[in-house]
Amino acid sequence: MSTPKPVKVSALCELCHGRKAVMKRPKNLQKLCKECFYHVFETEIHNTIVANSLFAPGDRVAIGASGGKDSTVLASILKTLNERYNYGVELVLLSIDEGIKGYRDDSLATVKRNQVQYDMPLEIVSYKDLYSWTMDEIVSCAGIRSSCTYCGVLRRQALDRGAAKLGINHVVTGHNADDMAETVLMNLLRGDVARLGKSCEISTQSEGSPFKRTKPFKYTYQKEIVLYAHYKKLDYFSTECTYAPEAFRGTARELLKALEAIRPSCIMDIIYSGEQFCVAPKPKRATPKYKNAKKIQNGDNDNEQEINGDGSVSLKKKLESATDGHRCEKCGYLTMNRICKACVLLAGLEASRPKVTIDNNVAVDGAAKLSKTLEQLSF
Amino acid sequence: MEGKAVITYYEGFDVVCSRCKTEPATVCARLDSYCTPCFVRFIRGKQRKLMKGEQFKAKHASKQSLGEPQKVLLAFSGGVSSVVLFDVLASNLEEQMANKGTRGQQGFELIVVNLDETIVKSIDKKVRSIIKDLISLYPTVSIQYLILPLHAFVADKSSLAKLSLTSEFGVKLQDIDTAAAAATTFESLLLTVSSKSAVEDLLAVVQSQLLLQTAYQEKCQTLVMGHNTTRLANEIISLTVKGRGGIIHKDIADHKEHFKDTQIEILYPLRGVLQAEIDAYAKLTGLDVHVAKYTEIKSRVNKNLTVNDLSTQYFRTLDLLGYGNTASTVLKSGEKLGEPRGTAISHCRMCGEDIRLPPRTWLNNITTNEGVPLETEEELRNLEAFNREYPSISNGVQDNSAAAGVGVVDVCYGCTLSLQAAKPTLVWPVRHNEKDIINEYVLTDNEEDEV
Repeated sequence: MSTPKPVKVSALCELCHGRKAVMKRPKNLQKLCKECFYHVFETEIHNTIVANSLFAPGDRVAIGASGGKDSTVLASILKTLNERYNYGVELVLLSIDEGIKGYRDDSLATVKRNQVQYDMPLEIVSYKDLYSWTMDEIVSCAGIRSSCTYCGVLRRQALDRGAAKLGINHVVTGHNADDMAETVLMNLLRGDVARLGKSCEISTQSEGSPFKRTKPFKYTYQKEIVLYAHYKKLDYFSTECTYAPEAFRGTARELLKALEAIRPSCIMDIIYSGEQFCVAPKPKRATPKYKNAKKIQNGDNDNEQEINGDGSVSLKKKLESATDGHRCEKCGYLTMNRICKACVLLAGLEASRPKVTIDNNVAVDGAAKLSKTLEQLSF
Repeated sequence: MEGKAVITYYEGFDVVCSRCKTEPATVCARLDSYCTPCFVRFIRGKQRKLMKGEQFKAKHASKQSLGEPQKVLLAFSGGVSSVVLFDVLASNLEEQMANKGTRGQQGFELIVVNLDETIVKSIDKKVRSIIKDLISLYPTVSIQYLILPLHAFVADKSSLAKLSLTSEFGVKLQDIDTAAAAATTFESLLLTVSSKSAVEDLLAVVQSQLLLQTAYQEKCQTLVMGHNTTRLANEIISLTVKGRGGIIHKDIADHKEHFKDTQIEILYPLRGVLQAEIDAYAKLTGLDVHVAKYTEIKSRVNKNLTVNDLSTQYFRTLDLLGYGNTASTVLKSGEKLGEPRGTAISHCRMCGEDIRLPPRTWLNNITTNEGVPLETEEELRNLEAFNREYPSISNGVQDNSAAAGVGVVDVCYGCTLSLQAAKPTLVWPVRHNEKDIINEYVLTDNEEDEV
């Protein structure tokens, strides 16, 4: 029996210098062995959790699980870290069923398998139950171009409602460093000044909202998540949503990919920049003196009611209510306005919902269903 | 939402200029039709508005003795924006000369400076001859020019030092001997940097330093740059990508910069003009023949491009897709940014910018650099073989000194990234640090302790 050939020194892992390197680490192109990769990957996430004190013992935490690689790895690693470092948190899977045939039904099957694999309770909240619309119906009604607008707004609310149903006020999502960097760029490109200053916050919580959202993968490269899932042979669903992202976001994503090819660290560099973004306070406009003078003269200012040009009257805006803590008049969800965005979108949809439907109408089944059927055709 | 092209040219004479309502329009921009003189006036108006201050106005003979003469330094690269800005400024001076009240007076002295970049970029014309040709287009006004080699950046040999990055993201500073310092040229400095993006980033630092220094030496109160909306948007994206997001708020704004004992105002008069509009200006006025072009053809492979190249390419693609206005959106977002939170704890010894989030701490917090202990005999044998081959890495002397803060200097995140591409060390004129002086010469700050 011959002894195995010793590994060349140049082929050794750059961290332990004892095992053979099997991969290049996407973050810094270090050549690593599997063991060291698992170690640095898991430790970095643990450090992020500890440094930002994301969890406290006794917390119940819902993992936003889509069945995709990010959330599957998130569920797996949180389970591992929770046991290894005794976070003392109770983990629950929370899934949203948007109602996209041929896409979400398959990915939900993955989540259900994960439920068994990780031994965690699972809660599925569907758009159909919450809003009486499925995404397929919305797309057939409003067109494919605005699909992400609807889906994004509705999912945000659905996650909160799902968490409320479970009596949980902390949702963790699988947003990774690439998503963060993309968001920073998108906020710049779209001129979203309100979000610019908080593009990179690891934990977001609206004022007055009981729900906290955190992103333990904030500093984790998407490619490393893929590699971790690959080596750990995790069971995940890898098809992208068939209602592809909006065209503009697509261009930003391509830019980011091209940048990453020339400088792998650019994702972290963008996050570093994003963490420094701070919107300058608006210069205060001095109210001309005569304006205040009039009010003081009239004294009894409260009884006055200004009539607008079209005969309407403006409802008094209370300063407190113009912030996040306001409730939607229709559904009671947290909003900055009188009616929340989801209710506005749904009202628009409702107005254009077909009055009559054909029995067993399959036309609403979206592109996903169609491509699925086409795939299964054989000649 | 797909918009229209930023600029369309009219072929025939059937559309009338919406400004003067008499001449046939030649170009359509911002939904308006313009004849050439009206379009030129429109673009020039941007600079006139920004520089409408009293200090740039031609003064009446009776007031000329008041105050020191206003001097404006124009950074001129030979690219289309700088050629257009030259034309805009020179025409402003020409108008002032022709003005009845102040006949024969210029409101400010214009000095054109070109940083000679021929050692890093190859262009098809001599910038000196471009400037001469442009000046000859305005015979009535007096315009000075100077050409500055990049070598000026390493002229102060006493400030040169060797910088290197440790594995813990610390930056070590080592002195170099006078012979090595004397032999350092700008080319030799750049040769040690392996990545094109890092060279580009360092060049930007060099350029802004040299321009400020020139403005100081020439006693110019104002420095004007030709950056247009698209170029500034590009700058915002590039700075973000290079980890320099913290300086966007001042870098792209019209602002005052401290330099030695004075303040220099930096203005971007073309900030409200899109690249396509600049191109149209040059084309319609025939200035395009003076524009210098790069002879080096940019690679089609993304991997050979730099951060700025990719960003430029991105905005060009958006233009073609009809998202041409994205540039102004990005500029507006950038203009809304203010100073980052937190106080500046130190200054970068390479570029002089404030450091708020120390890059070393930040990077070490998010990176784990320790391996899993070895177990099998074979693995331990491998480690022994490794230690024999690379004794310097394995004993970790370098890292310990960096961790202990020995010889470690403060460098901002952006410069740390560029240093990463410099092998093994980068020779750079290092800025003096007040703290170092205090540490070196002050024995104690607390006099009572002595007793």
